[in-house]
Amino acid sequence: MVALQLGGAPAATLGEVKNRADLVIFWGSNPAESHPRHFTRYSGSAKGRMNPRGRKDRYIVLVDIRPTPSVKYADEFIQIKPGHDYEVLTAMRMLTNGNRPDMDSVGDVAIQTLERLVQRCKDARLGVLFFGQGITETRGKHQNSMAIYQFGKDMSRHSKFLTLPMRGHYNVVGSGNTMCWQTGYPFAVNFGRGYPQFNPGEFSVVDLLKRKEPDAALIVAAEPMDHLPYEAARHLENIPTIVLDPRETLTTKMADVVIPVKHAGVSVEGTAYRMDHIPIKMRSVLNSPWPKDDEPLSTIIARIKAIRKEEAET
Amino acid sequence: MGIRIVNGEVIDPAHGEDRVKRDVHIKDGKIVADAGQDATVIDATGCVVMAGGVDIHTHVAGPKVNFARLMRPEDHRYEHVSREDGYERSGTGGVAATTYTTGYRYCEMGYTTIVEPAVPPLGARHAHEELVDIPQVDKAIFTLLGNSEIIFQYLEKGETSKINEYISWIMDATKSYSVKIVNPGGANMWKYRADIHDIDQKLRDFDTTPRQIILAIADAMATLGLPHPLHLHCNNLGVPDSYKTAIATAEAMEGRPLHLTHLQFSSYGASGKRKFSSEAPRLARMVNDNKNITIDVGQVLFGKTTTITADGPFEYHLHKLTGSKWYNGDVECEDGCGVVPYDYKRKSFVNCIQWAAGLELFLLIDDPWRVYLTTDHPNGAPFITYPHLIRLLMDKDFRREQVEKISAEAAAEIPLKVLDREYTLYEIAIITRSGTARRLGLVNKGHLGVGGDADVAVYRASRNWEEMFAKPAWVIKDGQVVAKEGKVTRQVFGTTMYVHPARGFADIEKDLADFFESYYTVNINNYPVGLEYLPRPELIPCQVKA
Repeated sequence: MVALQLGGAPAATLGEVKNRADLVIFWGSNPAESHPRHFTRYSGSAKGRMNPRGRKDRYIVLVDIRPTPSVKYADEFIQIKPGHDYEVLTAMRMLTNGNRPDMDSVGDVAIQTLERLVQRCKDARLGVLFFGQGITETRGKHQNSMAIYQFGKDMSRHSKFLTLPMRGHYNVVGSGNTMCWQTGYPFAVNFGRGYPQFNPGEFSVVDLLKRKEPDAALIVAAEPMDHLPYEAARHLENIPTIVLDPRETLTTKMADVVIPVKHAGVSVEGTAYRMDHIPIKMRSVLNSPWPKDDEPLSTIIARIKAIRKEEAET
Repeated sequence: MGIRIVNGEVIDPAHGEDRVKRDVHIKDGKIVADAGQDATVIDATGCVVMAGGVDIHTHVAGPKVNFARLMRPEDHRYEHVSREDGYERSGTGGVAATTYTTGYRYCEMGYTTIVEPAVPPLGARHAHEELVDIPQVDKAIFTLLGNSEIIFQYLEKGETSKINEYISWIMDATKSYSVKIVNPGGANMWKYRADIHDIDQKLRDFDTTPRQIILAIADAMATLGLPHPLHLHCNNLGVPDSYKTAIATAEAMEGRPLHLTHLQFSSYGASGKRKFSSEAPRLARMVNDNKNITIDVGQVLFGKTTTITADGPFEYHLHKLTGSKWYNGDVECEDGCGVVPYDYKRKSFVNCIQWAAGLELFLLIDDPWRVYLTTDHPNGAPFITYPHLIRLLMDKDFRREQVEKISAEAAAEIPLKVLDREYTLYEIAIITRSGTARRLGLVNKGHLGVGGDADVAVYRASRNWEEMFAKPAWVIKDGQVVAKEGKVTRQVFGTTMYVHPARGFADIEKDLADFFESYYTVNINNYPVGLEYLPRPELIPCQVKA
């Protein structure tokens, strides 16, 4: 997200990949395990307008620090030294822009290998670079994503090229979109002054919790006890917490109050945004005795407003 | 209880009323003949009373607008609205403001209806989700169809009746009000990193041309009786000699109704030392001579903004030119978009020509019913600059002062410097509400006749037109006072207007199922946007000619 804010990106919906891409690169992503349907629906065996033979019409490259179960679906596997994504991407940008790095290899990858890959990108009808948590959650964080987007923009001077994050976590894209149209920012929004302020590193949840700033937490469909660094998660145990979740999780076990709610797309209809920002209408397939997830929130806010009003009147 | 606005001067061009001293009666959300004895009286002494503003073209919702918000946190930093200031919902401003802020700001300028004109069909659900969060105004979207591969396939086979059926289906599937075409064929060619430069150029993979695309869609829209005609962003926009493409496009229509949007961006020639000139006078002549054509201007005003358009290749061009951030978003089978920040500078020769060209279009098109006030928000400037633009049109001394501030080289070349016309209040009312409402086919809007929607703006008369239009004394939406002295006083929600053409689509059902199965990544059953996404739907009837 921060990388996108810094420079933008060349992107498209997944149907473009299905219909046109003849070169697909996965970088720091293991779709065979993290996104098992991605390959058949969009990026691997999917048949499309220019890819009538599906898998045979695509060249697939996997870049990662170790072989993963996705390797067997790729035509080429490039193993790089852990923590060297930025360096390798920088070398690829140099090669794209016509400069050869003055070294034989970078991040344990031979320059000739990168040269071949860059040439494939330049020759592609549509090249796509999908990147995963191996890029975003490793040392360098948004700098790595930034290097990916910059590579995509450099390559766009030579061929049609897309750079797309392998977003996960169900409807994280929808939550980012909604935050954005209501506040202008996709995450790390602070309403403390009565209007939205944004400052990742200060208002992002990990930083707030590490500083022990929050004195209460309302957690909706998130699993901080499992996902956050120990130090941050630890603070949640010391403050009152309310959790809305359809399932039992580490976080619900820790919470002071748990409000079980219906699961959007399972027990209540709703809308979820796909990783390429296309909203999909979700149907309900099971019954559930619990309320819809927005009902407790509406009730709470109505009650707070009523209390405020009573206070103002007395 | 009703409202009676007394002692004001009514400007209602739809009924030929120019500063007529009469009362306006409001009851049950409508303009009525008599609001009754118990009506609340608004004393509009010293004020002019107009219908609420109707913006025919403003990018306020949907995927690419949200990318513009996302990509520029710096745009939101310096402006916000908060509950402390009396607003129900907080938000941030900047040129790509948040949804609630957008609704409040339009309302505070006296606007009560807005149209988001560029939504790819796959983005319609997203756009409607945002419209739900835009208060104070009635809303509608136009669907982008100028790069639709389904239409291209039918064009190749010459199956025009199936195009009619498809457009009928897609209007319903996107809960849309009309059709917009952006750079016909160009976004499709951009999927090969190419563009279209001539209306008779063939696409790479489809045996068709922009001319065929435009005519087929315009004819289908006429057959279906859509209330607003084809809304067109021409090929070759934004580059020298773009005016030639605009003229060729207009001629291609051979008298069919056409709305050319943000024509300013298509009004450039290649003459002069810098090979960049304003050909606005030529385009104004073309509009004057062709009664089938209306335009909105897409005025450029100086300052920082964000450009947002479905014209993907143009945004890449702009990115290369400026080195700015760039977002590109191609949409499968349908269209594309781009987002690039831009700063219009007084010292830039090109920007000054653009600024002047827009004003020249306003001043040289004779019939105000066929030229509408827009900035192609936020492409030329954010919509909050409308009051300033109105002053530029109404006050020639002010305009002359502004010309003196621009690049001297540009000032020497622009036709604007010899134009003395000043818009009257009556004409401003036409280009900001009566004309736009009429062209949109909204019979209940843009006028103050009995039966009209009670959307009213009361402006305190002043010689400083900018101040006058920035802060209306009262704004009434659906019969309720919602803003006073340029400040929202009550949060309300307007309707989302859409059409439902009568034409069935039995002949294309199988084609659509096959096409979706082959080329889309969304199941056809999950594709249509249902009415559950429109909390306040308002069906506007189609007018099929016998």
